[in-house]
Amino acid sequence: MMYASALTDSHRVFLEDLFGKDGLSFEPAVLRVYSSDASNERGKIFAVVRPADTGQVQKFMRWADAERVVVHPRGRGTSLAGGCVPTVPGIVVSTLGMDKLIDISSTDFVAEVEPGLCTATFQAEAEKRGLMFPPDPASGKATSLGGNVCTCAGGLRAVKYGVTRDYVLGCEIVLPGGQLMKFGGRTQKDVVGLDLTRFVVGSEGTLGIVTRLILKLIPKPEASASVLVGYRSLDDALSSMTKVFAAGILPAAAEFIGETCMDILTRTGECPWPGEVKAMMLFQIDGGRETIGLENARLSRQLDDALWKMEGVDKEEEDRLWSFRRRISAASYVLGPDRMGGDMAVPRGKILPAVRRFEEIAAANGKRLVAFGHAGDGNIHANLHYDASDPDDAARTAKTHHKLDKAVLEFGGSISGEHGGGSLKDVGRQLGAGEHELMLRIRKLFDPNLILNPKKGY
Amino acid sequence: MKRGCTQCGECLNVCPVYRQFTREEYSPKGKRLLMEPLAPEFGGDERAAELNWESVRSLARLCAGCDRCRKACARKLSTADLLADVRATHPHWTQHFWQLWIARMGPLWPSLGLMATLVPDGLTPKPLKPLHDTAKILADRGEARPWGRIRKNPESRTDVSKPVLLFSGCTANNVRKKWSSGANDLLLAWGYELSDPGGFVCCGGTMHHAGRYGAQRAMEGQNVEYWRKSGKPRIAVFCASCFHSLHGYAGGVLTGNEAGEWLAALTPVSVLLAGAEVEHTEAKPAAYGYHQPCHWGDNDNDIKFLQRLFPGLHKGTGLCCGMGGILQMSNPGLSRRMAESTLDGFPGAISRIVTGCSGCVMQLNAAAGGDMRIEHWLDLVSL
Repeated sequence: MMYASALTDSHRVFLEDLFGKDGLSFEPAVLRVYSSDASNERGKIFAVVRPADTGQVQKFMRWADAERVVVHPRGRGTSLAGGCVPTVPGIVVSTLGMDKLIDISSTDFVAEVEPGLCTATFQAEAEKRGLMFPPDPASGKATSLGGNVCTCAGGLRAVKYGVTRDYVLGCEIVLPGGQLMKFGGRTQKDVVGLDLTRFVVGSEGTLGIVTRLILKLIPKPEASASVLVGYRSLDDALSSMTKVFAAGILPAAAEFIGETCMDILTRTGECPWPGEVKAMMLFQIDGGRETIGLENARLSRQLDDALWKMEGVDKEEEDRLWSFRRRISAASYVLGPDRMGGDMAVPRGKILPAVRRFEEIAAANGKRLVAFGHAGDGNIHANLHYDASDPDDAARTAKTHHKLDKAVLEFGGSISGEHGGGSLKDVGRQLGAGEHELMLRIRKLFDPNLILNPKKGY
Repeated sequence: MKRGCTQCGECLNVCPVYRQFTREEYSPKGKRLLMEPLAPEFGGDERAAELNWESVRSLARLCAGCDRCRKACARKLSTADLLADVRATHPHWTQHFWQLWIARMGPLWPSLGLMATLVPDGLTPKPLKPLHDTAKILADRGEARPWGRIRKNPESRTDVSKPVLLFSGCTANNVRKKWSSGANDLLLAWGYELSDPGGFVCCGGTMHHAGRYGAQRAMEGQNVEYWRKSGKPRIAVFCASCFHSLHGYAGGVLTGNEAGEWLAALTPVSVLLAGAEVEHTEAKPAAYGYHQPCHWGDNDNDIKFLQRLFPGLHKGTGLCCGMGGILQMSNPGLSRRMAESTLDGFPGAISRIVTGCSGCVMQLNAAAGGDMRIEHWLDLVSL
């Protein structure tokens, strides 16, 4: 595909006329900021534009398609998979100038938002009205809803409430060429035609630029409770979780903390559990104020094989329990100043063999695997720490990371449960050739000249 | 070598400058991308950097030094500190002037304030208005009527065995001496033995932000030496920014056991006034707000103290008032916008705001219009 390799004077004039001084930058310092993301990979860009409304996006996309200028849509640039990295030189479209909460309805249980709205800000607005937007990526304070939708972000509550795709009722996107498409709507049920809203969710900005989202909300549970449970091993911890599910209990969150994480927590701060506790589960349940105690007791009965237990029944107590889980990410740097993260997903019953296999692969390369994550939905955070200034360590880490991706497929898993393919994952190793080809044909229907996020996603 | 920013983006929502613009280049993570390649501590080397300080300066220096990003950061990186480091190696006349303004011109502040009040607003060019307003605030606005008379509850047990040195800070020493005398009277009434604080100088915090490390170290050294000579008493502080800066001596100018002694000695005045009982006066308004100074961090005792004295205190939704660092001089327009946003974070019915930082009081009053007034809590309590 031939793309514009630089901006001409007339390109610049067009952009200046469309976006004005405030909505456009060619300044090298500004371009530097938009030329990478949380993957810390980097590409080259000609300009960054900041549309204020859908009309501007339409005019821009008509022009970009005609001029074969590559477009890299961007939310808050938090992709760990290089989803915002400009793989081919082009123009970054920052959606942060479109961050309005257009409508939030307590009767329809629906919100309409612009893509640049921060996830946590939106969740707080919903909660003020007694509503909940369940997708809760751990990075929700940092991310935008547009970014969450484009990667189909998951989060801690996915085990009970599902992921972002389960809460997108409709969307508006601007196609290359400038046409505005409206998929879905405000109804909870809609089976007319193909569900193109679902195409957009998780499409990693390859089908169009999202300009409006219609999101489903649910009533906010009145109460919640958490329990942190200690075991001799991850084997014991996960078999305890199996008992919980077998008893018909569906927790709002079920997190596992592996042996290496426990070692890290013990080395880096205060830990209330006894020394023989080597792995943990953290459960959260939610529901009505009057029944939460009963549900909590029901959960506790299934955890009778635990070595140690700590319960929390209101926000302050729960926060204390969750603080141990939240500490893992930052504390893991004791194993090395740099990190290569994985977000594989496996069927729930395969978590233990997958973690053990990952650990073996890491150990064979002289590495320790930091494994924790969302046990309830089989999403494993498999992180490797290393020292980037040590070439041998960096090479062993990269090799291990690569092998983990291969190993996850042995368990019928996915190389990415949450972060997406971005520009770093080789999704071809997971997707069948025919299926991959079909996806590329669909992509071309939306974007015939492939100006959107080339070499990213799939 | 220190590891730099991971670009995780957790700093965006806590950054008051980002809040003004909602653009990534104004966020701490954006500024770090520009400054880390210049900082040897992070493996940077300006000679090899693609963008030198001159190319990034106009963006990178938009920081009020509130340090909220450090708290949010998994690696506990402070963009204010990084900016200070880069400034230290790139001296600029504004930083030199700032040092003069703080270290030498304090005694002149009241006269400058008085002169500023004589200049009609209409004569001030628009870009200079924020500076003119700030200068006017330097003049003393007269006695505020206290909202409550306080006394120590006789049942309350406060440890008054250790002598106390009151650290007033530059604002109180030069233009709001009544805060020092007020704090002095209250501490005496509580039974504390007060030593002469005359050997203290500026805490040095603002010199740090300006990258004037030599001046900062000299001030820190003088303050520590005076504390040692005084027998290492408690140090009572009523300004959040001074407290933040003094707290930073531990691990810097002070190490080992003495750093621990220093931290144990540093105490907010509101902590020392434990067990206060209040009798409200008719000057107490029906509705009032509290502006939380960034520099108390998670340990804001003032709000707990004030909530007991003045129930119904309404906390504003704004972030930083924009006073910190040297932003007021490097970008007075942005600094003013931040102050205005902070004031906008209070409901319309509130025209009296109380806080516990000398800088916030000055900054917010300079931005306040109509009959809005921002007071240090020491203005609102008397014996």
